[in-house]
Amino acid sequence: MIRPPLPRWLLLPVTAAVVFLGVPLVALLARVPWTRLPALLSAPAALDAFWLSLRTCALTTLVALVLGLPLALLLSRGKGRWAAAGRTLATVPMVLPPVVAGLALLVALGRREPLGGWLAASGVDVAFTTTAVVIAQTFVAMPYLVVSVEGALRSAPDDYAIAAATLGASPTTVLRRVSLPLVAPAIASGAALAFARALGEFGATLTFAGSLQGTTRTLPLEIYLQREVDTDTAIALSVVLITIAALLVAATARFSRGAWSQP
Amino acid sequence: MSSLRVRAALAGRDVDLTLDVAEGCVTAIVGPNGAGKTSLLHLVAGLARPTSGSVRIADREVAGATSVPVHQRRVALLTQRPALFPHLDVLANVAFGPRAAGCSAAEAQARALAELDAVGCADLASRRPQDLSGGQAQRVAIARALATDPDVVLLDEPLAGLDIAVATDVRHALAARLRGRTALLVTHELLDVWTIAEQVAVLEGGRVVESGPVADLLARPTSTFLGRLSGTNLFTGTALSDTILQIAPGVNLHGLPDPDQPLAVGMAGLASVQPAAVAVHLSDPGGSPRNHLAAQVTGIEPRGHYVRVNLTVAGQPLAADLTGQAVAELGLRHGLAVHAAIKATQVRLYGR
Repeated sequence: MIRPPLPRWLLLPVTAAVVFLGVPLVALLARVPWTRLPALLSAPAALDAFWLSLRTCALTTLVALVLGLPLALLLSRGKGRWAAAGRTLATVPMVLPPVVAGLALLVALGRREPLGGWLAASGVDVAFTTTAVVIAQTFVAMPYLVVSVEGALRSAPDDYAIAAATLGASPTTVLRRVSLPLVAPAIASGAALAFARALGEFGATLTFAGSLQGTTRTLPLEIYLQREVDTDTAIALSVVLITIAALLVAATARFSRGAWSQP
Repeated sequence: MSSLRVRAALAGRDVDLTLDVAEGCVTAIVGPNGAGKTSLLHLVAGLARPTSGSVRIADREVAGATSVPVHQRRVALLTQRPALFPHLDVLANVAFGPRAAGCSAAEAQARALAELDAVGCADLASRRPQDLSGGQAQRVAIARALATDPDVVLLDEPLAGLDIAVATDVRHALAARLRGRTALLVTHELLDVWTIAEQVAVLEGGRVVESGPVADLLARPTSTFLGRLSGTNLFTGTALSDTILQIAPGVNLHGLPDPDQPLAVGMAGLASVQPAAVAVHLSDPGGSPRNHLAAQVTGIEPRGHYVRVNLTVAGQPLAADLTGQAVAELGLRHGLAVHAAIKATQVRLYGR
């Protein structure tokens, strides 16, 4: 089938859009001190930031899966006011300015606040620790997983779960062997999105966790810090982030291509 | 296998159903859209909860004062969409039920292979559902449903989504696999009723308005929805040979036997004739048509470009579609004695 063509004049704004999106990336890549890259990236501060980001983002993705999947499952079945409220609560962190998210976390869990104080008294000190980084990242990244998986669950036909139940599968078995495997591509792409969002997290982390080398100073924070002191290091670290982001986008595209075709 | 007893109502949908199915008996459920056929299946499967009344399978109450969840009812459900799990291959799909029941992987696979073999699909075991044709997928779905040894099998128009030729194949597989099982078969196809079911229940407006053995209900289709079930004329009778059905003493219908279900001499049979294949004459026409039947006009309904002329032949109804011009020229009117001519090649004869 040949679809009716788009008007030719669209090429003009399209070219503008491509230039607009491409120029900053090309400019950055043009400035990369390729020969000094290994040396710049193996500096202790850079390595610390890199490993901290990788560790916290992996943990964030895990926590987002453990907490987000059940939430997505429940919301996908929900109807009415409570489900709407739950859905809003689950997605607000996506649109919240990250600095506001960080402030909210600080007010809730800071050492001088009632809840944070109580936690500190029981020996759990959260603010300005690596745990705080994971909390901040999870707070802003988990909604991406929830939204992605909930959408897939909602659009999945009911008859697979019904068939499984009539075949004698308990609710847990239906979940484990049918419902979740069916949305596996959405879970994978949701997890990749959450990882990517966590990797880029800056405002909430800085506000809630601070910027302590090796403890809370993740890649974006290190890049921001080096940007004026040592632009070359900042650019080298940016290349690392761009590479990871590109890999994640490619992986996500692969997952959604691998979605089960509905027979 | 167990008997099924339904005395259940869904107040919101004006459904109040009373139905008894004997152990090992396939009952066809027919009726117009919205009559409550699917509601009946949902009540039995546990996908709908009765607002009053109960559902009993054998001596176990599954809905009513207590409610047994779907997965503990031992009820299989087969719908128009096979709903094979797309992430599992055919063998794993069929082994799913036995696995859920706690069988070991090896036991479940052996059972699955046996069930696939019984519907002629053993060679598809390693295929993905996406790579199956519609007919193959529905056969696999049958194998999957029966691999759990359900007490009751529920079928919601399982052949509706298939091409006619494929549906015929699957119909025979289904008839063979359902023999001796307690089952409810929702269908719009008279052939399904005749081929697969022993009993039939007619639903209208959320009530069971008539039920009984298939042969009995088909013998007096004027009283029910069955008569309107398909646009095809149907005659019941006794087979005198594989090409002759006696529809009344001295009244014989010549036809061609269905290759899959030929008539057996002395047994009950069914003849089908399209209304367009019936010619009406004022006197016995003679000529090549094998069937000349004395008939009486009981009604004339204009239907746009043609006229449906209702006749009775030996007490059984026969519809003929004629042009308005022919009706006018013959001067057809209620009560007129006429002759209906039907070529034997236009009459299809079915045994049981």
